[in-house]
Amino acid sequence: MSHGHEPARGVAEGAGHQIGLSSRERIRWTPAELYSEQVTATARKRLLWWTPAWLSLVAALLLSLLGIEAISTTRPDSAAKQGTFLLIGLVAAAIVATPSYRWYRRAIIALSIVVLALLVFVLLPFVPESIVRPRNGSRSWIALGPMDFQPSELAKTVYILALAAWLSQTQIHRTLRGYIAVVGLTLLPIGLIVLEPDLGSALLFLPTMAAMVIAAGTKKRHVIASVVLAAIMVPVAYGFVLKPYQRARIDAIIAQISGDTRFEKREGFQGWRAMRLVGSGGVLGVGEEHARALVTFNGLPEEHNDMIFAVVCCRWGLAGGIALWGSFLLFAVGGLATAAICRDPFGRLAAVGIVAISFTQMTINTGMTIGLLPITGITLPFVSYGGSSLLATWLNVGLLINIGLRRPKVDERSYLDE
Amino acid sequence: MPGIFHRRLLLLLAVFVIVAGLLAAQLARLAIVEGEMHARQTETFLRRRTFLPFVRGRILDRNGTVLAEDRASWDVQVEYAMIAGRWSAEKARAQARRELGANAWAKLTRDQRSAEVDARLPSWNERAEAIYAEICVAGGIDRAELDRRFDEIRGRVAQRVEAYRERLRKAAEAKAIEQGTSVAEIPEDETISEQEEPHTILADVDDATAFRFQLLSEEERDTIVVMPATQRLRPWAEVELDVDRRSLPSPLQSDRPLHLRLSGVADHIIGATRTRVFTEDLKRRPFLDERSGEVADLGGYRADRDVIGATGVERTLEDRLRGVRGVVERNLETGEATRREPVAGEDVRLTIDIKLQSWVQAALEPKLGLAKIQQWQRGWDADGEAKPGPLPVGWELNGSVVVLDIATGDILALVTTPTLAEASGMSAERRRSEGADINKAVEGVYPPGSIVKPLLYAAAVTQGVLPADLAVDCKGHFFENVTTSARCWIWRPEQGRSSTHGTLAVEEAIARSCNIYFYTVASKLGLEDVVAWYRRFGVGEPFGVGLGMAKDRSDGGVRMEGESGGVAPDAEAMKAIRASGDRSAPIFLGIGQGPIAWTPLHAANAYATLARRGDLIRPGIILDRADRGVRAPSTSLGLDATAVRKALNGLSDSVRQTYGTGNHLTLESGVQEPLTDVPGVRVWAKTGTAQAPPLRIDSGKKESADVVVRTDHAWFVGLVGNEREGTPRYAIAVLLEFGGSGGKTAGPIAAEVIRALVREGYLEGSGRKGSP
Repeated sequence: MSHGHEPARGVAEGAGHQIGLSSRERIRWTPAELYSEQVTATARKRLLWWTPAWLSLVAALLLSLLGIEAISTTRPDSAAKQGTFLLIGLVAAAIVATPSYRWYRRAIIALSIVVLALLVFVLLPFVPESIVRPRNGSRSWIALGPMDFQPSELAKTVYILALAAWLSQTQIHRTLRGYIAVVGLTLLPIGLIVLEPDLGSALLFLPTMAAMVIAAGTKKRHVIASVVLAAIMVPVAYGFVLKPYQRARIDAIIAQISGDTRFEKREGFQGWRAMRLVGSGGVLGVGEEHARALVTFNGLPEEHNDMIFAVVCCRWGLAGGIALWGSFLLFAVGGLATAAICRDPFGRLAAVGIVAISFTQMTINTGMTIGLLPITGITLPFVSYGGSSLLATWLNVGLLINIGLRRPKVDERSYLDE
Repeated sequence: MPGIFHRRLLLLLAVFVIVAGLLAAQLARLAIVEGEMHARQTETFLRRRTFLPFVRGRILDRNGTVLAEDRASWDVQVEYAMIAGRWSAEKARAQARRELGANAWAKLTRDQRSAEVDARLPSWNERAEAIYAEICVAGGIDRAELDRRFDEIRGRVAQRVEAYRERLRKAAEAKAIEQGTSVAEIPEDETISEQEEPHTILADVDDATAFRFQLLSEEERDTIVVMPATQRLRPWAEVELDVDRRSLPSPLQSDRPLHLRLSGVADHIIGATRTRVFTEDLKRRPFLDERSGEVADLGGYRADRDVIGATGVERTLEDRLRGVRGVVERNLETGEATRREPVAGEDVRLTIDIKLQSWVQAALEPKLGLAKIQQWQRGWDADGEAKPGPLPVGWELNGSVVVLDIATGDILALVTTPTLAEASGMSAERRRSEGADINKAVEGVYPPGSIVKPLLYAAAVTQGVLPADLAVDCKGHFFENVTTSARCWIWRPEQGRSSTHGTLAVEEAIARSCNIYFYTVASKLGLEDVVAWYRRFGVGEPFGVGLGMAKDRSDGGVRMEGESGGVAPDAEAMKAIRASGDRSAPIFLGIGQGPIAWTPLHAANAYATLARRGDLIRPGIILDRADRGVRAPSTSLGLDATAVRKALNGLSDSVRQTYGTGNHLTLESGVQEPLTDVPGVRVWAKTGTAQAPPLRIDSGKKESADVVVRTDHAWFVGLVGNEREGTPRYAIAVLLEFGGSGGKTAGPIAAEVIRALVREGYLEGSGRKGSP
């Protein structure tokens, strides 16, 4: 059994676990090679390892604490609850980080089936309202006693794992057919989530997929063609697919960006209120008391939830916004560095996916709050109030730490480096 | 050189940084560049402004009697949920939701929820019953009445809902046809605003009751709303008085006074307010700026509902009567409040004496019998047979009276019939034919007829074209060989009346109202000068007494809406008259006929001007106007003193001498009754009978055509003063539309006006009354 000093490239003999295919060579590792040190190391020893995933953990903690403080501006009770959720999230992250992430890979088929089943379940018309209670007209929640749960949150993580597994298994995504198959796989959860309907969550999958296939080395022309196609699809969707209320939101945001206040009292109400509160914060914010009064009496809806960024900017100003984005960048740097150090294609791609989906969700949420994107019901990861969403994001953090703590040997090379 | 995977990661990181940079750039723009603007906007939500209503100014008469004033009053409204009976269910549901918590509530099934609601319903039902009972007690109505009012509102709202749904259905059908699709379903749960709003259950309650309801509404939310509903009171709109009938012409005499109930006293003058707001109001004086939505003018008009002067002085003095709202601005964050008190509108005093006005309106009330066709107006023939007349006996006449203070130009009384209140029940057509919507005293134009005779005489003497002592021989006709036109009224050979006036001096000519004398006056003056003198006496220009509104005309000139200037021929028209070669047309103007017309106010003002020897004072109805009583010597007509004396003597003879047209009424079997012999009063007066347009009378039957009647307007214009003083104090103009002969119809009414002046103390010896 050779590991470590044997060149990773080259054809290993025996009952190898085939992790990548290329026209030029095959890479095989035995399970022992892959899991030797990680499996044998004690949890205590692993925790002392330096990994850039700790950066992401720090960033996530900062963001969560910032969120609790921001929530407490108008809703101290909710902030206390969020504190509890954070503890639960931390425990969940620790649990997720404990078994090697490669086990998740083995269970990916089962996980995918479970998630798809749940996504279908919430759509079933005969499921009683005591189990699937529509919120704001959307069937996306399953009642689970103390904490309701959104299958789409779980779907995001499982999707990342599934896509990472697939892209690390084959290089078929480098062909057009393979690329289309990847897009098809992505459209499956998107379709189910759009049906709920929860357009906001559905929007996250394509940018995440894009980040992952780019990291996996898809052909440039496919990416460019996709972007061009998407650009063409936008007006088509606007004209034929979107419902009138959705079109109105797009009209409103275009008007808002161009400073046209026509929609301020109608479709653009929420967006304008949020944007004006953001602007009111100035450079350093107005402080807790005044921010509370401004947010309350401006009647900003969902101020502790989807609109929490408006509270952050109102209370701490431009500085608060920059700190928040800085934390997200720190989270991204930590995650991408984890991917960079990791030698396992699956781990690499999963780390990229986790960073991408968090960053995308942050971009959409803060973008809509500062008046650059239309309003969609989507939370700000780590910061927004809500147990289900906080738990889901902390599961991702746990996964990232998991990947960070299980590096293969330094001189291993992934096919992704070619 | 990093590996390809690392390069891809760097690419992703670069994308993230760029995205974060873009977001930060937008945030910087919002926070730094636009920060102040947004802060201003969001800060506005921290301030809650409530506006305090102002009191509209009062309208007073010259003695300070209140004619119109605001009285604070309140409407008690009940929320529709209570009226519809869904209030307790809504409350029970809210309570259940609150007690269980929103999350737990969200998890309940429909059945579980209704069980929770039902458990809490009975106590809320009891509460609702208690509130209904309190409404009944506080409002002084019984429960059945309350239910009846609720039913009425429910019925009305249900109708509205049906009408609204019908409109939606129609629109959906139209859309379906247009697009060729099937008709869209109308959503069942769509509500209209009336289903969410409170409705008035008790209108016009006093402060104490309103306060009780206010407490009730604070005790239990979403039940009752107390709304300010200030009432405009007009205490003199309805007047009851007893008219002494002992001094009336004997056919109407009685020892028992006649009890009259007058409605709409002075309502053409005082006017009314409206609550509908028109675009022009909002353009003129908006409360909120149209674009910014900010308060533009605290005294401005609100688009939804406001109180605006619609007619009369309420309209012309709108800006003075209207006050300015107060503001309470509360900072919701700190709880601090600043308060700016409302400013009440200005009180306005009119020159009108409302008691005198009432007596004058009583004289014009057909029930008294004077403003009616009576047989004495038609006369009796030599055999004692009653003569026929164009209008049936008992026909009710509309008219107008103006009483003017000569020294100040104050209008003491200005009556027009029917009043707006009397006309309120009339059909639109009848209102038009009765001229109910115009104030006849200042808007109605009539040919002056003989009443201009003394004026033109004084004018001609002043002009120097006529010797003051000119005597004229009345041969019955003016032109030498023409016996069919330009005749004296007395000379009707074809009717067997061929007597003439003979040679007359001006006094007798005025007293007898000889046409030939004044044809002579007009012919000496000439067409242009006759018209010029008419204009000097005010014809052609509205006075602007305070009842009209100046409006820009499309041709750039100014038109007075609500006051008329009368009609006088312009240069063009005079040229046409000259060109026609009609010799009689210019001289007809000498007896007030032809293309000339004025209002009763013009008549009174012209006589006042004569009494002032030509000094012009603008008449007015607002007591505190700046130019009140100001003589304008520079524009004095400078009437010749002798001529004025002679003209006044003629007017005096007209009532004093038995041959005077204003001296007496001739009753059945030749009995003569003096017309204006009021003890202690000196009267100078002139009768006038002026051509009226054909009067079309609806026959009342469909098959027969309307009857067209030719008759005249009746004038009686004069000056009155204290007997001992011997100088005129007041000018009176009486006009009866289609009244026929001036002396016989308008005369007795003028006599009643004079008695009213006496009764109100205007003609006592010790100087003039009522000039503050």
